Amino acid sequence: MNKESLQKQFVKDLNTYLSKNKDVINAVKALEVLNYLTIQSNSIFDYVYKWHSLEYPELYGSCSKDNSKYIKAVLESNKKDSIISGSLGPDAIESIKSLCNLFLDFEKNSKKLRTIIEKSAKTAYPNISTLLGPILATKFISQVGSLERLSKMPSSSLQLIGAESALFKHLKFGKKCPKYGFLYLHPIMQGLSNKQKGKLSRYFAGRIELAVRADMYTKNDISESLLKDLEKKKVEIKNSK
Amino acid sequence: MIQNIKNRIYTETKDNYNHYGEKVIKQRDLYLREWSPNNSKIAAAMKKGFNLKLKDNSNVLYVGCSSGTTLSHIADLVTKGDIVANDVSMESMVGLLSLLKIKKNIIPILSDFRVLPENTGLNKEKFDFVFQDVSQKDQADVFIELVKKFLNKGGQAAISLKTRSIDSSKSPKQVLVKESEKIRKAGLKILKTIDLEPFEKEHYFLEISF
Repeated sequence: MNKESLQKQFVKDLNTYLSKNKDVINAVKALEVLNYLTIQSNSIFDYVYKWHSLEYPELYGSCSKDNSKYIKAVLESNKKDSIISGSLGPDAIESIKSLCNLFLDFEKNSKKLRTIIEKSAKTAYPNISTLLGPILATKFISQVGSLERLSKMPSSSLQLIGAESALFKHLKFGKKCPKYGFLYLHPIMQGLSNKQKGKLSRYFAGRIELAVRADMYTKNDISESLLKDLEKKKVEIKNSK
Repeated sequence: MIQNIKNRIYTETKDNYNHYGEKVIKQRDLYLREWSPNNSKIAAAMKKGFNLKLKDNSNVLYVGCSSGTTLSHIADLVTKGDIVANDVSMESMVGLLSLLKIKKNIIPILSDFRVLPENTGLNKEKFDFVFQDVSQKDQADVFIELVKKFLNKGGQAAISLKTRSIDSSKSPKQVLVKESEKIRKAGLKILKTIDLEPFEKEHYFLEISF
């Protein structure tokens, strides 16, 4: 056995794989962290609101219920602003403010992650990222594993990505078959009845399949014509019974 | 060598290392690393009566090595022979890099296990122990091909069948019957069929000779 050459080949394989797929890997990893950060920052907001609103309940309404605006307002608020303010004591206010800074830090980081995802999605898979939006497109890829796997899928499987648990309930126990998975999150699916959504998602999955194959193999830009097709189909489905 | 102390399995090694957070005991100039049946399917099978016939100079083909949990214990047992380890996932193969520095006889190959029989790197090799642990639909078909091409005469082969990834709509026993018939028809002998229950759900471990 040619031991040394095989061992060298392995390191070479790793390097080529990484440099070839770095955009896809970066986008997927950034999306994972982004999901984590949004969950964490939401729960931090929740704790800040529950604590601070005890002495200043009208602040959230005055910020038009915008979370990041509210956090900034909490940082700037003084004792004199409210009728019952100052009753929690300075220690509590200090820790609330440090939590606010943590929230703003998370927000700054998630903004950076979004730009990473958008940038690498545009270079690695431009067609599906214009069709689905960079974040939803990355969600599809992270669910399947890689762009290549997604491109080899039949469109009927692609239609149900994200609905795995419902699909296996259907296969095992004979429950109703799901009609859409992550595709439901796309804004074009809004304003339709459930039956119409099923029809549109089938067509939509076919268009995505074409876009993925263009990204993987031919590298042509066909996304705009696909979007036009999709909108035409939506009108058609809406007008039919 | 494998040691049994208080109903637990340990592998002897001269290197002082810890690969995945397992328990290590010092015994004179040797180190004993615990081989837990909860982490490794071979260890689980050994708990249920599988007899691993590895010598220090035997060659091993391990398909589906992942980050090298089981592989590290096999490398403890096989000190002189070569171990070829294969996996598709780059992310888990990166976890193997720290093990490669300690065990020089491991030869990792990053490829799909379906193309392994045609892999030009291992053209005329023969192995004394072939083990496959991949959860794929066509795992039994590829395993038959691997055994026929790579197993030595009198060698030992084993496969761990994950029935849920072969067919999720049928019961595990139905899948097992179908797959083992496939293996028998191809001319291989099934020596032992082990249900890996408390340790792994819906997994079967088959010992095979050719």
